[in-house]
Amino acid sequence: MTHTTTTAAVTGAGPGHRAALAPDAAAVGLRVVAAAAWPESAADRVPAPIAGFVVSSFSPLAAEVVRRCLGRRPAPRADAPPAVTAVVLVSPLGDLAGAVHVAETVDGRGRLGPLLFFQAVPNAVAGHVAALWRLTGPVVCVADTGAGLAVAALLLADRDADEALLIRVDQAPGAGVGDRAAAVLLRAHPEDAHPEDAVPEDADTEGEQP
Amino acid sequence: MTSVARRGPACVVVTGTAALSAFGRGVEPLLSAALDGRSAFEPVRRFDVADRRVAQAALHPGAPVLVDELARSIDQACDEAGLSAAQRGACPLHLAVHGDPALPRVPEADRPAHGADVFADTVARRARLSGASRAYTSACVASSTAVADAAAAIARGQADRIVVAAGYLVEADQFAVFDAGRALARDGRVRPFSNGRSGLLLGDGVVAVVVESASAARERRAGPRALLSGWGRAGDAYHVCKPPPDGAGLARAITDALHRAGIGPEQIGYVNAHGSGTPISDTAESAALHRALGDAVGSVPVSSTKSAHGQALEAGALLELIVTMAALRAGRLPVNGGYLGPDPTCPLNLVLDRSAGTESGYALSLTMAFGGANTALVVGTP
Repeated sequence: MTHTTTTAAVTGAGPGHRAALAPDAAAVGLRVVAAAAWPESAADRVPAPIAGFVVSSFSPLAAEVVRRCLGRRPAPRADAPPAVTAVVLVSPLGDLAGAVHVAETVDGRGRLGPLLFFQAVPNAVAGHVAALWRLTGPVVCVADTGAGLAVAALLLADRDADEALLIRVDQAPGAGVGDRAAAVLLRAHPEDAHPEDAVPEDADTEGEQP
Repeated sequence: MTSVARRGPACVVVTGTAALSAFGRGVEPLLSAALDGRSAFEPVRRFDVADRRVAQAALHPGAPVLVDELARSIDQACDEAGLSAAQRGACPLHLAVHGDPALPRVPEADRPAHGADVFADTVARRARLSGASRAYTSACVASSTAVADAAAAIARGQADRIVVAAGYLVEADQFAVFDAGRALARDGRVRPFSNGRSGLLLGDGVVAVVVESASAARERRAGPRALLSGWGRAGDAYHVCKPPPDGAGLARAITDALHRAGIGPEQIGYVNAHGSGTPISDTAESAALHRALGDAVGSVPVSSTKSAHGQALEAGALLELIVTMAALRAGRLPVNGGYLGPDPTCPLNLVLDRSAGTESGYALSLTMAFGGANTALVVGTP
């Protein structure tokens, strides 16, 4: 049996960052509802800082592409219940600038600021955007786009969420020139809904026993 | 609370486990300490802590190397599961780690080759698994999320078996940021849900499990260690690092996990709580348990094994899942160590008696993380 969540070709590392997430999403059967990237124009030089996050562009990049992406989503129907949105953050190197700052400070016996405590993990900015945009679905951080899309597809299939916000952040290995980020809001195709998969209230959900 | 969660039809089991902790190699010494409520916290000598406010952690002796210990644990778990070389070679890996420990100190040009994805590939290669690996970096829920994803994929028939591994070995950088954030327990003890608790302490954990469909295990005549009966995850949408006082996100994760397991709260015989020992988090978790378990909460035994082995960050949830499975098999419950007395904001049925046992077939293992991420896993006796 083939494991369908193998590490897919990681796209999004080149100039076509915004566009690259969309075809990858389509390849695993997901519908792109909205998309955004950083940079999108020559005016995108330094992302706006966010309160409580210091030293690194990682979290501001994520927050900015989320702001753009969710700002572009279609307005929901007036009678639609609020969607449960998962946050899936992809970053091979994590908050690289933050990690390097911590290591240099530790090695130099310097003093670390308390804000670096929570900023050390990518969950922090995922939680920031979740709180800001009321995204109540699961929060997952992985290291490659193929894994992020597979996670999102399974969360949607199993109704852990109605939609998934997939974010990818790639800080430049050096001094911040060349930072890139992208975000796509994903939904399952309507024909992929499988109401027969719902767990019946009185069923033996184990299906089979060892 | 109601749940709309669904899952694939296949039964999911765990057929192999392995662990390294401050108590040594293997699940048995870890379980023994947890059942006794014995902690492993001592002054850190692995690196310099002279400038830190707190100097305690739960460390394995010597200087273990993460990639070596991960490969060793995967070896042991696969051997316990009885996998052939060919079966191992077909296994994907879900690896929960903070990242490649070398990343922040390698030359700038080498950094792209030290991503968590590359590190996962390296571990998979060292452990002679298939090339299909992925890395989870979701802080404290990294390894429980990796387990949930493995279970969900197997339940849907997307894979027959997946190795889930996780590792965190206490090191200077994370120790320093936790100390700077004043998150570490000033009195050198972790006291979950207790009056007078003052914070968490870090601990080593390197863990591996083989997650498998029951039918695949049965075909090769492998006996399961535990059922992986249900899983749930939900976000708080509340704060970067604080849980909401009502524990609503964790409660939804618990409700989904019970729903997928097809059981009610009264069938849960033990909860291995996140129980970090921090004042706000334990109170919120207590509220979540009341919200999700309802009237049953007064009779369900609860403890946090972090009081013994400490907070193993990305590996913590898997370390605690293994302790939970082993305790169910033993029919005895881990003691909530470090307890000084009741906290009225945490009205729970804590396990304080070293001889506490259970005949129940199901237990919950809970985890909360930065970013408002919550997970709940239901395990059962096979």
